[in-house]
Amino acid sequence: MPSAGISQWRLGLVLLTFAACTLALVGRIGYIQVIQHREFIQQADETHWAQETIAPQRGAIKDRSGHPLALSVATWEISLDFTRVPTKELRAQAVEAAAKATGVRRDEIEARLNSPPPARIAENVDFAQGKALAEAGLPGVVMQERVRRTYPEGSLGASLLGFVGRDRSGLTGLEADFDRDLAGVPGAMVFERDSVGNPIPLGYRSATQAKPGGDLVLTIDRYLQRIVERELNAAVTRHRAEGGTIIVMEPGTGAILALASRPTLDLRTLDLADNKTVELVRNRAITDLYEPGSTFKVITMASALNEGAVTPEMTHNDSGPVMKFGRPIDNWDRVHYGTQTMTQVLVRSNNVGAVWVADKLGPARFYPYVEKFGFGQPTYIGLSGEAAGFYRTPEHPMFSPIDLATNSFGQGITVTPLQMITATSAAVNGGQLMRPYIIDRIESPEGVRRFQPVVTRRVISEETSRKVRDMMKVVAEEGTSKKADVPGYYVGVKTGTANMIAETGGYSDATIASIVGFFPYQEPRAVVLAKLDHPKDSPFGSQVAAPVFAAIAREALVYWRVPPSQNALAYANRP
Amino acid sequence: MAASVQVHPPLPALPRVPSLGTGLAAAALGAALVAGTAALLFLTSLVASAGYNNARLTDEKRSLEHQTQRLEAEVASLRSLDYVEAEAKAKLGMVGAPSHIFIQVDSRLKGR
Repeated sequence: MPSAGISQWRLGLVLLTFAACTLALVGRIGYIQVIQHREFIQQADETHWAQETIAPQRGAIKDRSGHPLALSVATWEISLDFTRVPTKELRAQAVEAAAKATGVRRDEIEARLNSPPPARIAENVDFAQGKALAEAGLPGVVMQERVRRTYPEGSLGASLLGFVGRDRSGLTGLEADFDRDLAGVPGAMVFERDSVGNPIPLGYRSATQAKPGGDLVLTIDRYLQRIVERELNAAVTRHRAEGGTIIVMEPGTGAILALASRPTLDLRTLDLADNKTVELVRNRAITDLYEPGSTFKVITMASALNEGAVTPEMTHNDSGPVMKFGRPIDNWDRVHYGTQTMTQVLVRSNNVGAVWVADKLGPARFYPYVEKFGFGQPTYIGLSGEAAGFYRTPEHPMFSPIDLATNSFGQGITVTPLQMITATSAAVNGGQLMRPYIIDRIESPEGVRRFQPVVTRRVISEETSRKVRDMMKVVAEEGTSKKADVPGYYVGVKTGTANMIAETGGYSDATIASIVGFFPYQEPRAVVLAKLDHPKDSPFGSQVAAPVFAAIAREALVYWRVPPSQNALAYANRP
Repeated sequence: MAASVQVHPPLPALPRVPSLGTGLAAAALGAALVAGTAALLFLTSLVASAGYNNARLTDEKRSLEHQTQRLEAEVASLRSLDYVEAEAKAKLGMVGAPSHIFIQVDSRLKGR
């Protein structure tokens, strides 16, 4: 019968369809189970297992007495991601909660939500403030733990400390140079999680604890650092200088007690997106080169004294500008004093006298001392970006015999402020060149690593060093540097004024006014170098830099409770 | 003479009466199973509770550590030189240290 035939055919078609579907399903299941097996296992594991990185506590940077200059506190970064939030009510609830926790206005949050998710609402949200929001577990609210570096002393030592990036690693300064010690080792926690992503209480859980970073204890004294920064700010403002640098060093050990340079950055209002920040981050005390001018006469004189070429009482006749290879070399004030002792050469900062001393030594004896005092090579203080400086020796193809003359009073040679103070320290500390250092110790959970003073080499004898101290003391009392004198105490100084190198080559009219000095005379506890770049009111170190030295020395001596010299009498205290 | 053997049909099986010992054993086993299950549930609940407690305490510990950090930072800022100076001037009415003035005197005059 035709109707039975059609039914059979239809039944067969249905069965065939079912069979085909079943076959397709079996095939698909087989494909998933056999071919895509590993992929799905991995997906399941990823959904089921979670790994969370435990961020280590970044170590603090402290001054020599343990006061923190930089330390870390936990904060939140709050974002909103509504990709998987279906209802408007839930979204509104999340926006409301985020606005309450961060203080950001609702309309502002709404505006940010127009950008691709996740929309960052706020960072550096106080941990306690954000914790309530984190515990509420609102859908769409993304809370990420962050670490904020705080600076209890403000921007004290900013160019030295440097700063960290958003990924918590150090980008500049000590934060970058000692990042490995400060950062610590991250930990990890592996756990089974439920469908929402929370750890299953009875599930597997394995944690490797994070190791906190070590604390960096510097040789910097925050009190001295504050004085130095205050005086530097005042001097730069007073003399409308383009910048400046001050370093205070312990001459016997090479420990840096204070170090500041201007212009500098403000760590509290740091904007990494601002291109000007890049210009401000460098530590000018170790990266910038300058011609030291007459402060270098201390080095010339120390070398000649040590070689026995001169004595403090030896005389020479300054009868006028000295001609060197067809070029006249004159004194800074164009005044000529006739017969004068070597001490008077320093007291008057006499260029003609310095050239005479260098001639007595000759290049064969002068340049080895320049090298032994550490010029033309890094000090190896352990900070990145340190410049080596430059000068020409007779072996250099561009060496000119006039170089010896100009080098004797600190022109034609480039140095860093750190090199200059290290060399001066060697001249007054008994004759030993110390390697400067700024890290006193690193305190980590594994123990304390201490940094000891390192003697690089002996440069001059103790007797020569004593003579240099005596001569510098006379300079402070009688010389061009009277403004560096500290009433009640004996100090030793030497000022310098050097023309800056113009961008077009040669020298410009702008000067670098500087001073190096030590105090107290009897037992030097500190050597100070102060340098101001292009002061506008007076070009001279004796006018611009000397008062800075005096102010620092006066406060430091009181701070250290150094009694006034025996021949001094306190007669008044006035505000 | 042939001996006649009379074959009796087997006796019907008597219903087995459980002995007192077997009953007790079964009861004890049942009780033990119930007790074991209860104990397991109790322990599971304890472990679950401890797990939640552990997670809560870990979270609390971390929160307290962060709070300690924050307080340390606060203490450090309260001990900063700028803050101490400002407080000394504003609250205690202190003034800056006077500048000490010294003069050099001839050592021969000291004996007079």
